[in-house]
Amino acid sequence: MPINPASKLTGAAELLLRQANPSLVVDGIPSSAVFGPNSGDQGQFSVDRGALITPKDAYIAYLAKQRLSSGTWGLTVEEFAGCALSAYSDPLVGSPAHALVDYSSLGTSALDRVKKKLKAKAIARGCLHP
Amino acid sequence: MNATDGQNAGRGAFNPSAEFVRARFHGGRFAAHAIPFDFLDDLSAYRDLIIEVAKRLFLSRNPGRVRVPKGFVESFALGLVGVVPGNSSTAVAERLPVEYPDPKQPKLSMQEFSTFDEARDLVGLALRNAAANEPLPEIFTPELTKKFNSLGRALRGGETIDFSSPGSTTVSSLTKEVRKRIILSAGSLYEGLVDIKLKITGGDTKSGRVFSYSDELGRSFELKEHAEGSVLRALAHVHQVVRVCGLGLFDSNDNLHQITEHAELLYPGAEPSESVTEQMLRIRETPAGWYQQDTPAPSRDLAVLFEALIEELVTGYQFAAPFIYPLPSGGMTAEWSDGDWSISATLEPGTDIRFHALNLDSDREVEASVSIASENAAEEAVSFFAAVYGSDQTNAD
Repeated sequence: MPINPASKLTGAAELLLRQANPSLVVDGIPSSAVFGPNSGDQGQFSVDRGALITPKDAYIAYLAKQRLSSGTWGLTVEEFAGCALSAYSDPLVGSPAHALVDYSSLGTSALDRVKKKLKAKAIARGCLHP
Repeated sequence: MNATDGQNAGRGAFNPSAEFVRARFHGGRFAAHAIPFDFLDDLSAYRDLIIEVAKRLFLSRNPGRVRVPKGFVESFALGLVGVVPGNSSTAVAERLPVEYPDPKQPKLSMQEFSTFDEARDLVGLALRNAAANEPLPEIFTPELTKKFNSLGRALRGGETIDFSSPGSTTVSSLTKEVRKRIILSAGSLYEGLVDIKLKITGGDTKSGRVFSYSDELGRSFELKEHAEGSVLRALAHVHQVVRVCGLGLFDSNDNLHQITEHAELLYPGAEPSESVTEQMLRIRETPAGWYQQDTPAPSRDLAVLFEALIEELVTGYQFAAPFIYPLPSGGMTAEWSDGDWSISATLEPGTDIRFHALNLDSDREVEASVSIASENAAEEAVSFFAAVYGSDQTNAD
């Protein structure tokens, strides 16, 4: 999916929201896999913009698509940038808050490193909903 | 319900002549009308104490002998035949029939057989004398008295075990205080349960793997670690506070002098509520489509190998239990959070296991690739953990 450089998010404090599949959360602790793209994602990581949707509404909207989530987790644009990752607005039909974080330049080791860092920051913030 | 009813329900006719002792548990945790499993060891310790006293009785009556006759100890087997509920819980122990596997073996005389009844009565008398602040019966030499260390270790204040013999109304009570008084009559220290927070102040893997600890008053203790995983974890937590559970020696003021056996070190940080086996069962039961419509179920073949490796690390090498998750690729990942270290072992179809560790404070990284099919997979994984925790030690030095 092409990313438009002009749509790069610059609000450092903006929260980017991610739904965690229930199988990726044990005793309330999410796997680091929640915080990065999977092998089929071509390095693009889908999130919702906290400036446009609340953690609760993002959760409800996700479930409404017949997908499973145990809760909404969040990381700021600045926290992604601290891992050399940029975020881009990518509104979709029915998902105007949709955005992408570009992990495509990361190799396997770097991906492991970044996901661990982001997991720690997300856990420190706590699950945002429910 | 009474004891006889209980026996009839489970074992057919109840033979009252075989009953040896009743142990009534009351107060504190026993108020729940159940005997916590912790106290099953006490029934075994009670049997061992009776045997020791009976041996001493026999030898004192047979001065020419240096040991008891063959089969003497084996003739005394106790079985828990029922638990009588009520305001408290009472365990009923019967003496089991004597078995003589060697037909040529001489049978014990009735007097020898009844020595154990006398021993039971002497143990009861010792408990009653201690409760009344009177000297123990003469047979209790310091060496024999110290055998009480194994009995009632888990008792807390307000908890009592009342021992009584069949046909007797005399009750002999074991409490934390009575136990302590008996053991301290033979020495300056008694053994009790330890549950204390200590700071790991240093360690040396080269000289017996001894680690030193200090409590909040600055008193020092030393503990030995044996398993590779325990050593590595202790090294990684030098200068941190851990909870130590085990056994220790206390003085009359209940000050801990020495930790004699530590059953468990509890480190700060979360461990999963489920065992490795339970987590892997959950992963094996994860269906296809669990993540997206085309997501495969976790590979069962990989799950078997992955579980074997993680289980060996946890039970064989005593590493902490990880959180285990399926991956959309059909693989699985185990994740540990240990102090500043975030550690993972990831297995995906068609690849080796990828071990990766990141120190979230220093950004130090350690990586290793281990073939899941390797006979030495566990040893290679341990080498990875040694590199992780060893880098902490190098840094601390």
